[in-house]
Amino acid sequence: MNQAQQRRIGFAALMTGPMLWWIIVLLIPYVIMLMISFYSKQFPFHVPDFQFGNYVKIFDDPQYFQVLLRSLKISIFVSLVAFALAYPLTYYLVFKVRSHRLRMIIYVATIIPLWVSYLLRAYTWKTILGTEGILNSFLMWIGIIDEPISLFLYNQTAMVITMAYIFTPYMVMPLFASLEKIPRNLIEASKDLGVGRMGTFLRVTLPLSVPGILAGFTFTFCLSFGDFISPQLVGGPYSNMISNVVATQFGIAMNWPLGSALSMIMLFIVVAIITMSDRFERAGRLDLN
Amino acid sequence: MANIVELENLSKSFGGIRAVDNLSLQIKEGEFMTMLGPSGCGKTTTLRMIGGFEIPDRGRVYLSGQDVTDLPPYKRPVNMMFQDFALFPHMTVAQNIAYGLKIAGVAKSDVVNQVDEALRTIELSHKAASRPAELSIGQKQRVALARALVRRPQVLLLDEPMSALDAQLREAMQVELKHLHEKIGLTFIMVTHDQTEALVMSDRVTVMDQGEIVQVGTPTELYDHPASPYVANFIGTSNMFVAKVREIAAGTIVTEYGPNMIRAAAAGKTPAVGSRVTLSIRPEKLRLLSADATPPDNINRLGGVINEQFFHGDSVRLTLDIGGDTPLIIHHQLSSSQGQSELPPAGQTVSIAVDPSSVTLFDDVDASHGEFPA
Repeated sequence: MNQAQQRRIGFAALMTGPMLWWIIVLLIPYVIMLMISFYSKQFPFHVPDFQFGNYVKIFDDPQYFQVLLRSLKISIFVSLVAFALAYPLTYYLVFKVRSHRLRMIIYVATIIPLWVSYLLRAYTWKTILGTEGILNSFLMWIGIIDEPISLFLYNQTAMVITMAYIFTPYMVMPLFASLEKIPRNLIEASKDLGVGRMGTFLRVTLPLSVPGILAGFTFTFCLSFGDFISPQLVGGPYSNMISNVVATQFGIAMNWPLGSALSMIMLFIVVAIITMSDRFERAGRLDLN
Repeated sequence: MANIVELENLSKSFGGIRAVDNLSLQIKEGEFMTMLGPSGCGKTTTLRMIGGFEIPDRGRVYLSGQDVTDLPPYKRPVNMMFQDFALFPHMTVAQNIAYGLKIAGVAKSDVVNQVDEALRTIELSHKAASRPAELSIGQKQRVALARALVRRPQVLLLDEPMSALDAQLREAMQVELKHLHEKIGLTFIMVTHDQTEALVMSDRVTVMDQGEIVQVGTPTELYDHPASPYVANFIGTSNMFVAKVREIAAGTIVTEYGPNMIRAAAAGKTPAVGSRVTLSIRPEKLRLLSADATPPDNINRLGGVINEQFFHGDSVRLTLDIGGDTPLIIHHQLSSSQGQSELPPAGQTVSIAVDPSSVTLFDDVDASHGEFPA
């Protein structure tokens, strides 16, 4: 056996584990789900079939289509809020904080909630926004309101606030990476050429941080789009997201074909967004050296 | 000629480290001034204070008589060519050049015309729509230069402009930049650590060390009359050794080095008889004497034994033991009438001559043994 053959066998041995994992845990379930999405619902379960009825139903029945639109809308709002919070913070960290140590401390403090259980972080907002919560107590204490109001919790705003809080670190990370990569002398060159702070930001810093913005939006959008815990905890009656509907279809409704079709549509949307963001990033990829 | 840049008692520290220490300097209008020194000597900080990128802790910066110390870079009539050129990667070559014009309130059609003209001047019209990443290093440098010059600054600052170039391109660009300077007559202030570059290009050179100016002068002044052993070492190469003062005569100081007596031009220096001084002699000022030569009395004549010969093609470097601590290096230029084979071989005893005016004497002793600062 020569060296090339040995190397090939070694490589195959190394890759077998991950490939098996990928096939068994990802590829096969996706194929099964795709197949079931064409099945027909028949009491008490479903029967193998090949028809597009489930997909037609999703776009035909306003009940499903509305939820799909609402999920898109909420995910976009979450991404926008996360961006509005993360960009100024990250900009300040990268360009204004001079001490490397302090910068890392604030950065890690921003990221660290990711190590806390998701459920716990969502519950926190329930205690902040609820009628017995901190926000109501505070407003009563300073005398703006006389009795607790229930406006804060169980609506779409509460969902956006909660998810924005939970997913903002995913916006901060790529933004931080892309802002930190911008050579300082480009900013100096812009000022040298007569352009002030604001102009320099709009014409140099912002365009060069687009890859980070795209990556941040992709993360936060896809994560909120698939979320079904926040809607249950803080969302209230008119805040069902697409994932809640999927969960119901596989659970109490016992309609696996419809649940599978919904899942396939979600998968399609997420993959489309990731692909688009990747394309944009590639097209605009710049040599910053 | 009027001074266009005046630096008055500038000081700047970074985290307790004094980068520039009470520096004062006048730069004349139209001059090519080079700030020369090893890394960390404060030359770049000085340039950045002229550009407005650093605010001095103390002292003032004047441009054409106007105090600009507290003005941000975008309000100063100077432009900088950055070390790595700092071209905007997300813009085309034409957009890069137009960048500083649009803001200056130049009409749109004029911007287009001026950019076209600049592109023609740097011979890159065909690259107008290219991104900087598609350019060669030499082309990038020309774009960076054009981008700074279209703004018609009063002073052009150049931060290590050649450091990214390879040796061949570097030599070509030195000539090109010098020609450009002669043609447009603008004041250039360049920072470099490369002494050859400084000598070739500049009208005057400011040599810096540890945040202070060591000497300001024309390249010839610095080379022929270095103010300190540091300058003698930094500019070109020099034989440096410590000798003892024997006698002070009119205009000359007689010193003793090993068995040899070496006379040096006094040039205003008055060391005490018996004190130790540093002598500096350029390798090309030492001449090999043929056996029958009889140099005039006022020329130093030294005897020694040839150690080694190093062939450099058009010249030969010889090391010569004249009985002191360090052997002397002699730079001997070969000519059409004399090849290397005619030189005395290693081991032979020879005589060499050097004019006392080519022997520079420093009262300073310690610094002479320092390594050549790179």
